[in-house]
Amino acid sequence: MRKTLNNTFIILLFVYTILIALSYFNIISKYTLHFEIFAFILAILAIFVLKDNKKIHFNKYLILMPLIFILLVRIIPYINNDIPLGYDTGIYKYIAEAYKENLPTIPDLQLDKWVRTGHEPGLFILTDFLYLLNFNTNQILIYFLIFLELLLGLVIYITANKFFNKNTAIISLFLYAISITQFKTFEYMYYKNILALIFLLLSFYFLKSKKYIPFVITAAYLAVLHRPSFLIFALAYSVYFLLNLKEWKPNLISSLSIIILAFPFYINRLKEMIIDNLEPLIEANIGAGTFITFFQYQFLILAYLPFAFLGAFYLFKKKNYNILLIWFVINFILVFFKLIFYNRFIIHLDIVMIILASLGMVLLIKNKKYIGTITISILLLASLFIVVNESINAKPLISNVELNIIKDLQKTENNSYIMSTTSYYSPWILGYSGRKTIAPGLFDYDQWSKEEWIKFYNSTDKKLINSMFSNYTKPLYVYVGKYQTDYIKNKPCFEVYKDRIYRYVC
Amino acid sequence: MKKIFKIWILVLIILLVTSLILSVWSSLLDSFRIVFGSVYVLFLPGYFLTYLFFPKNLNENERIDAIERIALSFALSIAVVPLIVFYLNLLGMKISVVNVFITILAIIIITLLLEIYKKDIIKIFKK
Repeated sequence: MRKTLNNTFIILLFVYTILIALSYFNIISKYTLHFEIFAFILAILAIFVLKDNKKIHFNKYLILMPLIFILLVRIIPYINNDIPLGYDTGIYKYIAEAYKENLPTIPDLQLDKWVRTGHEPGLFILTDFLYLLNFNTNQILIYFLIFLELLLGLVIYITANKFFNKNTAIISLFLYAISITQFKTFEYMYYKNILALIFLLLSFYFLKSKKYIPFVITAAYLAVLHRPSFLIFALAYSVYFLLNLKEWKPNLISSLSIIILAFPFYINRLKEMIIDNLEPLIEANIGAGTFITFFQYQFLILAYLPFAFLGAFYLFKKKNYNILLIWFVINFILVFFKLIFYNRFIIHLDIVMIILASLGMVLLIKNKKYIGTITISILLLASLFIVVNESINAKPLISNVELNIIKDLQKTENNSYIMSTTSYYSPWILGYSGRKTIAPGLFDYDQWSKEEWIKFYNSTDKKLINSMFSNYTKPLYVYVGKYQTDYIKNKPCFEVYKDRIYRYVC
Repeated sequence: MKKIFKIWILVLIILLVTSLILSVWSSLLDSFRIVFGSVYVLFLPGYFLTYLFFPKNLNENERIDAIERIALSFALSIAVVPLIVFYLNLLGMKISVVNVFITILAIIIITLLLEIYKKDIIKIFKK
């Protein structure tokens, strides 16, 4: 019986590997089969077939390979390009420069309302130091982020090493390097998210080491960096607390210390940042967060999905309910059942999947050295192909020409307002025009509802436009980008100021 | 001791070379400030803290290797410095190059003192 299971597992593993490789190289469609079910069956078979009684030892210098790869794929988009990737870029630039302008103090009430409510101060206190060191905004947005990506890789390595062993740590680093989800996080410039992942992992690292002082420090910094990541931390830590009631004293003291340390950062923003957000949270209306969907995600992680299942089953089998497993379960529930922020939480889920998958891969290599190494190498190579492709095709969302036109808006009157008629260009205008930005549904100066914006897009009635604009302070300019409909072209009350820029004249 | 000295010399040479390479794009002074300043702000405080939390004389299971120490040094620096500077700012300290330099120096000195007198402090607490 055992032999039959063993042979079935090996055959299925080969079939799965080949099919995944073919789909990654675009030879067959990834929708041909329900690969996620295939992966699940493989993991169930593996947990019966594989035993954890052999020892292997990977060369520690192997970690250089993924580190170099992480660096390379993140540098490729910046060869002959100095525009940062991502959509939020302009927003980060705007906020970081607002903090810089307020030096030598940390601003609070001086900030725009949308910054105070939507953006935690942790990252921007750090960028203040970088400005003091003579970094410019572009260097912070491009090179410092690449450095953080490398640091995240190292932190995944040390966390996997702390919870499991060096072999698992090395494979985790490889998986992180070839993870398309993590590359997309970098490509979309989820700066706070990336930094928060470092401290989420580190808090768990220190908790496992029972070093409560650094645990409190890293968790408190996580709280002032990124609230959604802190939510995952808080949920996982609460469950851990309940499962480890024997250690209630240090855990209770730590929890209170984290709250006390993080509280002063929010003291003036408590109402806007936390209390105002409770209502949408209760009404489950907090949104999905912008990122790939869970459906897309399933197909991006097929290379390591069976091993992630295997890793999780293995921990359950060993009754090793450590905080990583708790995090995995909570994160999976949030994403799978679409509870809150479920699209963005895929980034966190991917990190813990990577660590669990590496545990599963080590288990396979321990038992089937050659078959395991070959199949895993094929899967890693196929993923590597996808990431390299993505890296080569990663382009900034705006061209140099368009960005220069937006920068030219700095030459308009100091008190002028710039209107963006689409969310696509709004962050760029905010970050690079140096002027107050009116954008549909974003920032502080938009006074129209969605219906009013639609009315404006479709109207050529001078009287109506005039009355709609009566609430806005002038001078007012409108930027119309290359990748959007030109709603202004035939409208009364606007004259061409420069290429792609209109001036309101009524 | 000799080995550590050699490593530090090597690190210094790497930092000097990096500064020189960076000076192609900016002034020499700026590139030195960015490279050495980054090490001072983003590495050194955490590096000394790691010796406080993970001293060399720990047993084999608890001991950390060089890679762990490097990663923890960066991460702890990034966490500790903004937190401390924020609280000092609340107390009225202005965030300037000199003040940040002094704050980090103070973190390093306090950490070193704690490392040196750790055993004595533990004894006092036990008493």
